[in-house]
Amino acid sequence: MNRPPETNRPPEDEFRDLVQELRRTAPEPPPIHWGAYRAELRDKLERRRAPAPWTWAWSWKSRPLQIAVATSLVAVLAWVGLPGRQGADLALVENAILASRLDLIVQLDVVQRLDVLEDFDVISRLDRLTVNEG
Amino acid sequence: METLAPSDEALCKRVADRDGRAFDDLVERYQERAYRIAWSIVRDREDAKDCSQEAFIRLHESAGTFAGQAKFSTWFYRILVNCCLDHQRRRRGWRRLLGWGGGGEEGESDPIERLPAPFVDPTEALGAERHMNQIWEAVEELSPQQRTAVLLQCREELSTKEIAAVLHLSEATVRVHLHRAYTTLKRRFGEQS
Repeated sequence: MNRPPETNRPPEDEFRDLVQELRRTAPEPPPIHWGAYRAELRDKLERRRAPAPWTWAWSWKSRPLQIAVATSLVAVLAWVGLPGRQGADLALVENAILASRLDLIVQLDVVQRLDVLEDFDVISRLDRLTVNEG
Repeated sequence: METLAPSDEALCKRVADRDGRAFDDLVERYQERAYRIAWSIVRDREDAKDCSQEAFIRLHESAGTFAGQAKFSTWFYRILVNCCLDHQRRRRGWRRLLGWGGGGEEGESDPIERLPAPFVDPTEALGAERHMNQIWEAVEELSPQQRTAVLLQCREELSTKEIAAVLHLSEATVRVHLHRAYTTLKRRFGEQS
């Protein structure tokens, strides 16, 4: 595969005069006071290091229980709001909220393995079959 | 007996160990270069000051990640150039939001973008100065990456390899950028003179 012509020769060789001209005529930036520059930098660094008071007040580390309850509530609401879950029994929501308060969520992996929800699904379908056939 | 000044790399390691004195030394060594490069890219005194200071703050925060495989200057220039390009992107975003630079070519409808860099007093319109202004005005109109590559090569005298490391590009891509930039400048400069 052929390389593009511009990659064959170093551009600084090909445009030597122009590069030298640019080097010679490079404009200088407006002067600044370096003492003030460093003082300002130190100030910015200090401000960056110290967290703002509201950051600490709202830090998740300082409110683990509240965050856990809020997260479980959001999860429940999301589950209820899933397609096909419209009109779900409010008792289920209540149970889920109670479960989160009673620390049952800690055993979430065990609960998930029980496939309880799938069983409910089967049972509800069985009910419907009975109604249709009868 | 005179003691040898510690290398940039050694100072950076000490910065990672939270040595405030080492950080001050690095700032003193690089402040002028950092400000000059930032100004060359953002073309505004206050913005250049902010960008270069932001680069030093990032250096302070991430000194521990400097592996020492590249030169410290290359690593630091990369931080600095990223700060400047981020700043320009943000500025362009705001302008687009405010409806300054909606369509067309970049910088075409933007009044600030069209301003030349604050060169020396224009009343002293000597031939050499006009010549200098023209050539650098043409540099201002290059794309941000082309302009940065030209500035790093011409002002900071970095090699193509170092520019590639700073811009996180391959050497071949940097050569293409430089080649296109110089071709544009030569064509523009030929038209003007």
